[in-house]
Amino acid sequence: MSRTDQALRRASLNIGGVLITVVYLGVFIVLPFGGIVFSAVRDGIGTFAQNLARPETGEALRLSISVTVAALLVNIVFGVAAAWLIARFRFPGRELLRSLLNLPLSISPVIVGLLFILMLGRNSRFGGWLESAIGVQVIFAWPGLFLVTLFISFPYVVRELLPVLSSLGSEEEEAAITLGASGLATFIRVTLPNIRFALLYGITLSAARAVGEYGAVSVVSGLLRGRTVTLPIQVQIFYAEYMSGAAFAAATIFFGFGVITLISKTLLEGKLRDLPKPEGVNQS
Amino acid sequence: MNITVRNINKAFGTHAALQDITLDFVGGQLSSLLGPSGCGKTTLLRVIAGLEQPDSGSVSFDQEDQTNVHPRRRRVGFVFQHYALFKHLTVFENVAFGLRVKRKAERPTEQELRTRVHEILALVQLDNQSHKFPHEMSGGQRQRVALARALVIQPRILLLDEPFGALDANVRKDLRRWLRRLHDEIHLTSILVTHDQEEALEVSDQVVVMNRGRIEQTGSPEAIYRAPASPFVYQFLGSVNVFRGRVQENRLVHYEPMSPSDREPAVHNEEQHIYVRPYEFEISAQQERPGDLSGHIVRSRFIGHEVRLEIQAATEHGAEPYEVQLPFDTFDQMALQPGDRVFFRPRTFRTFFGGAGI
Repeated sequence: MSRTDQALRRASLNIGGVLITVVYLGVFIVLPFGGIVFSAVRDGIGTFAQNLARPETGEALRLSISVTVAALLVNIVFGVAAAWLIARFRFPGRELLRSLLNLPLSISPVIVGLLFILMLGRNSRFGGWLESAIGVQVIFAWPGLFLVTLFISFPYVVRELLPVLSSLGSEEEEAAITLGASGLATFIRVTLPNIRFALLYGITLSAARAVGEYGAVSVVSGLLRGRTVTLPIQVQIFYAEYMSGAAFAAATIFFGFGVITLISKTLLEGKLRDLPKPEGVNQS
Repeated sequence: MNITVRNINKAFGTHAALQDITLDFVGGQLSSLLGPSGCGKTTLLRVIAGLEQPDSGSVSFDQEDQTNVHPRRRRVGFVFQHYALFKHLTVFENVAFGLRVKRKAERPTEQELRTRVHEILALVQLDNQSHKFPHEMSGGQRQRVALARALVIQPRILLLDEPFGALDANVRKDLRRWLRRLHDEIHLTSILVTHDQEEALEVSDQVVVMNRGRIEQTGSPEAIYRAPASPFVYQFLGSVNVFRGRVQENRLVHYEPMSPSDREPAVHNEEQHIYVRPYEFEISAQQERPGDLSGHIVRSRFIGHEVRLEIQAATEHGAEPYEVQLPFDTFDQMALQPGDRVFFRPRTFRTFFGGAGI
């Protein structure tokens, strides 16, 4: 077979591959998303705006954002701390801690919700005590939504930071310390700038997961309208009540989140790739 | 600043990295810790800097105990093998780092800081590069930035961990000579870790040879080279040929090649190991004395004005070839070719009674 024949064959193979990918993506991603946007604006932009402006949607959005932001803040602090601990120190139970961090990824969200009800529900010992002694209701209230969201979205920050921290090594941090920097100054001036893109990437993934969580949240929500209904649950409620216009309008908000996530992901992935490699790792 | 290290022990798991190390580093001198990789030299340097905590023993600077002082407060300049520059900061900011993280009361004003950073950058001849990022510079330049960054805090001592290890041979040579000149200017007590004996002998006032977590010998480069204290030091400082032989009244009365199975020190029958450097041989085409060794030239390599021959001894099969070095002129006059049979005998030699450790 001549070289041109081979090249042609390869090219046709490539075209086939590209075609399959495009059709696949079209059917499973672009079409459904397009469908949502189309269904939302089918009855005109005015109706869409009215649907979008429904008070339930606004309340659900506010709740979703407050829960997500709170969970993210905790995830950032504990995610960085856990990743740093695992990357920098050798201690008994290190491997166990590592696998525990991935546990939320492998448990069905519904089970997570049930676990929290078992642990913190009104009829559990601890939950009952919290409610009677301190007056804090966890399940069917904001704290419950916050806790399950935290649980579900925790692994993403750690998982992105760990490989970056490990490959960075601790030389730069040691250099900072011999130059007289305190632990905090070393973290802020040396470690953080080196991991900032990985951290942002982890936050993006974590936020996307937190905002969209349905299963675990719906179990601990109790569906108290105006109080514990997050955006994904509100979409489901609209749909179940035959208000598909409102459901699709609310769903376009997720579409917006999705686009933002995608763009920041793409930008950050580029940055992560361009990051200068740790010096001299393969020398010596 | 004199550095005193007393009875330092350090183990990583079951591996004893440092065993009862006691050393004195004289103020203002440049000392080298020399040894093969894994001998504990870097660990010792890190213990002195406070980056590693010893299991027992003490470190002091001018009688002032530092063992439990945090590395942050030791005021030690540390230069890493792979530079460890802050990748996200310019050269200027890298050097300024040590000044910016000072406590408010000690922190210089922005004006003073600029002056000091530029002074130090001028000292390492990089003042015109201050706006660059580390990844835009060559290895030699990066290591000079690392040195400037360490010097700007006016450290009490300077510790260099294989600072030229990641550089090309030529840059390495230039940079170590430059380092020595710099040292002669600023006279900062310095310790250099290296596995390169040439580097240690060339730049240091004092050389400490280490092996397996212990000190083998301490002394001036000349003393170390002329009077190595052990077979390890002798072999580490350069190529060497080992024979089995007998010595009487400082004369070699009998010697023979070692067989591969003959590696343990021979002290029975008054025999011991005889060490000969490649350039300590005489070579001839004919046998000149009864005890002469003979062999075939396996390979010849040119090292500048010298030629290094690998000679396979005729008597032994499977033994390592001998290394014999001779001036290029001699090689030319004798018109030697690979495959030629030659006779050779040591002009001088060295023995270590008991000869343990090889």
